[in-house]
Parts: sequence; structure tokens; C-alpha cells
Amino acid sequence: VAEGGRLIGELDDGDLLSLSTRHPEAFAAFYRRHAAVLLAYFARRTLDADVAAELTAETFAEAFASRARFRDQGEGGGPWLFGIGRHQLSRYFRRGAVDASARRRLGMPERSLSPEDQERVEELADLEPLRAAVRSAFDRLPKGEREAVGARIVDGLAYRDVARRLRCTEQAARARVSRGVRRLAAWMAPIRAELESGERDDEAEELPVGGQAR
Amino acid sequence: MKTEIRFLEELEEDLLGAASLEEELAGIDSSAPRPRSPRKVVRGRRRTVRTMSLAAAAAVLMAAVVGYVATRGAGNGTRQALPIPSPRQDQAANLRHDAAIIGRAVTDGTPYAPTSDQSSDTSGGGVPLTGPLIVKTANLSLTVGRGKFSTAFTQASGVASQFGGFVDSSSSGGTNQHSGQLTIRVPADRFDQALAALRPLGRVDAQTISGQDVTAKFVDLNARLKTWQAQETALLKLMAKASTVDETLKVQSQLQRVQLTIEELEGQIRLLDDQTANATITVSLAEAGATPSPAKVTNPSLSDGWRHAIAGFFGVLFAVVVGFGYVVPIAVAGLILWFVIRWGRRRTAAAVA
Repeated sequence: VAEGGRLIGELDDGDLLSLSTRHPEAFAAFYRRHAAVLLAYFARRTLDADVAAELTAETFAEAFASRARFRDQGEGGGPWLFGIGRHQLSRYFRRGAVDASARRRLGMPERSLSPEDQERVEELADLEPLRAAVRSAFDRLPKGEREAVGARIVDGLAYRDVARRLRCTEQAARARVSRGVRRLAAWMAPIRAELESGERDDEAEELPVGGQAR
Repeated sequence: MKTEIRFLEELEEDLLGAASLEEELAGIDSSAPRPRSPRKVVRGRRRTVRTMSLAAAAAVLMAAVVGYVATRGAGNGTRQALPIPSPRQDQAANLRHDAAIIGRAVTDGTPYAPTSDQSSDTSGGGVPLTGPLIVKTANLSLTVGRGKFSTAFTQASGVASQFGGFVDSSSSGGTNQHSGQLTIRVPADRFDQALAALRPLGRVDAQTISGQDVTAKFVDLNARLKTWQAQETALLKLMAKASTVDETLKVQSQLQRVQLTIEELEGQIRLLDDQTANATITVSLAEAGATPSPAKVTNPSLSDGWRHAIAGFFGVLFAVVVGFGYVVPIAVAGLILWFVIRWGRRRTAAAVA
């Protein structure tokens, strides 16, 4: 499809989003540019390929539904998309579940990753080293905090059950989880900074068309 | 390492599917600032169909109620009934009417002479150019106080002569509580005045007014008459030329047939002219507590039920049509107002955006 003498692939994100209100296939081009980067971003943030895939789908659905509201104010379409993504991510962290309202509105199915895809997402996001780092940091936590964080975050128990497992008061359990998470966050800070700088590069980078990434 | 993720390809297909659905359902409108989601469009359409059906049903119901109130609840406390005549009254009135017509048709030997200007306007000897010819009839049921029946009955008869009409038929009965009916004929142009003079004679229980347009029938009858008259003229000429007895007999036979038809047509035209010139008002008078007229049919019959059903059906239809007359202009005004408000809101929203 040519627009103003240029091929769709040659248009920038802002033009693609503007064009997509009249020619939805332009949105497909926009999608192919950012899908893999966004998926890797979510995978690194959640360490969960399934959740990352869901967040990617919901972010693109939301972006598609609100593409007519996009106003290019110089930063381009990538940061706009990642803004929606960050919003979805924070909602996920707050609620513990990925929102699906945009997909429902558009009549899109809720898909899950195949085992092969899961492996590919982990490779794409380079999750294994990250997981190893988190695992190592977790193992280095003092025993009480490790057990508390494991019961609360890994096993997903309520504080009352965490307290029962640790044979302490609920207040003490809360304090141990809080201390453990703070310690983990501090140990992971350099890795996190490295990740964020990498993501910024990813946001700026244009991926080859075809839903593929290196 | 090159990574191909099936999920991303599927997601792209899903997005394209959503796009094509959006394009298909809502169309790609560059002027629309916010594309509607396909599912919303589908839901919206379903909701629209449901809402439209409900609105149509509500409109018909409202029209029926408004029509019923409009036709039944006329001002001054007068109750105007829907045109559902009682079978007994209806039958009796029809019988009397037919008898009157037949009587006049037989006794009236005067040649046809249209009485109204409209019907006598025959330009160039062709089919009369008529305005609308309406046969007006009214049924009025009145209840009078105890001991006032005779006075009211006499006054009702007096109304006919007061407005230049005549009493077509009258009947009354009852010993303790009187009731009776009279059919009066008044000139069509004084129909409303006569009705207005009759109403105060008692409490109006029901009133039916109808007007039947017989213009087309009148024109048709006149056209047919002209044709038969032309045949008559031709046959008369043939008769004059007939030289043998056989020829004369043949032409005469034809001529008799044509003249009979002409007389029939003239009779029908006279009848129509009489019906349009004089309106018919049937007044049922009853003392409080008395039945309006002596019961002629004691057992309810299937045919009566059928007549009631037909009358009821058309009565409801009539009320709905009348009601629409009231509801449609109000609905149109409401719709215009709604569009204006919606347009204003959209403009405000666009300005804010």
C-alpha cells in the first residue's frame, strides 16, 4: 500500500497510527515493528512468558482501540505504545491479573502460549540469566525472610497463612516479607537499571517486519 | 538466533480480524474521531433493533391510548364512544333506514333533480363535476331523568323541524321506565347544529359520528347513466327507422332493457343525493335505569359476537390511527430536539478533545 508515494514500511510510527484510522493494515505494520520488543519488555518485567504474552495482546488491543486518539507530539508511536504497556503492567501488578477488557471489546480471543512459544519468549527476553540472578539473590536472603517471601510471593499465600506456616504473628510475617522484598530490590537494582537502559534502546529500535526478533 | 513466535502471528491475525470487522461493520470513516469497536457495533445493533422494536410497540400502545382518550373523552364531559354500535341498535337502524329508502324510491316519482349545487354541476353534458359528497350519520344515546322522557322525546322530534328536517321513524316503549328511538333527517349543512341541539336533552352516554365519502360512487353512477342514455337515444333513432314489425319488436325489447337500467341508475343517484343532502341522526332516549330499546334478540348469537369482534378490531385500529395523529408530530419534534442536543454535545466533546 502506498501513501503519498511512500510504501507503508517507510512511514514512521506516527504516520502509521494516523493512517491506520482509515487503513487498518497500517496498524499491522506498526504492530510488526513493536510486538516482539514489547513482549520481551513484559517478559523481563514479569518473568512470566504467559503473562507477558497476555499483556502484549491487551496492550495492542488497547492501542488499536484508541489509535484515533494518538497525537504525535514529537515522541512517536513507540513511547505512546509503551505508555499503554506500562499502564497495563502496573494494573497487572496491582490486581495480580491481566486486564482483558480491550480484547473483549474488540471481540479478540484470549490466547495462550504454546510450550514452544514459551521457550522462544524466554530466549527472546533472555529470561534465564535474569531468573538465575533473582534465584541467586533469593537464596542469599536470610532464612526467615526467604521463607516469608517464598510463602507470600512464590506460593501466593495470605499473610494469615504465611504467619501460620512461619509460626509467628501476622504482623511479624508482614515485616519479614517487607524486609525480604526490600533487600531483593536493592540487590536487583543494578540488573534492573541495566534492563531499563536496554528497554529504552529497544523502544527506540525498529525491528524488522514479520513478527520476528533477533 | 532468529526467533519466530506463533503467538505474535496469531495476535496479528486477531488484530487484523478486529480491523476488518470494524471496517465491515462501522466502515472506515476518516471524519469519525473515534472508531467504535466491532463487538460494540454488533451489540449496539442488537440493542438498537431491540430498542426500536420496543419503541415501535410503545408508540402503537401510546397511540392506541391517546386515540382512545381522544375519541372517547371529548370536552364538556361528553362521552364519545368508539364506533362500536350495539348490534340491536345497528340492525334496527339499518332496517328502518332501508325501509325509508325503499319507500322513497318507490313513492318518489319525480324525475331526478339534484338538489345540491355540487351534484348538479354538469358541465358540457359529461360526468358531473362534484365536490366531496359525504353521507353523514350519527348515533346518540341519551339518558333522561325520571318522568322527563316524553318531554325529551317531543323536544328531539322538534329539533328535526327546527332545522328544516323531518322525523324518519320513531318508536318508544316501556311502562314504568320509558325508552325509545327516533331517527331524524336534517339538511347536511345543519347536521352539527342539530346534534348540538339534541345533546342537552339528556346525559350523553355514547355518541358515534361517521361520514362516508360517496363522491366516487356518485361519479361512477352518473357516467354509467350517460352511457345508457346514449344507447337509449341510438335505439330511439333505430326505432324510428324500423320498417317491419319484427325490427320494431327487437328494438323495443332492447329499448325496454336500457330504459329499465336507466331508471335503476337514476334511482341510485337519487338515493345518494338524498343521503348526502340530508344527514341521519338516530337518537336513543331512555329514562334513567331503563334499557335503551326493547330487546329483540334475547340469546347472544355467534354472528353477534363476530360483528362485535370486527367492530372491536376496527375500533382499536381507528383509535391507533387517531392516536398517531397526536403522537407523530410530538415524536417528530422530540426527535429533532434530541438530534440537536446530541449534535451540540458532540461539538462540545470535539472542542474539549
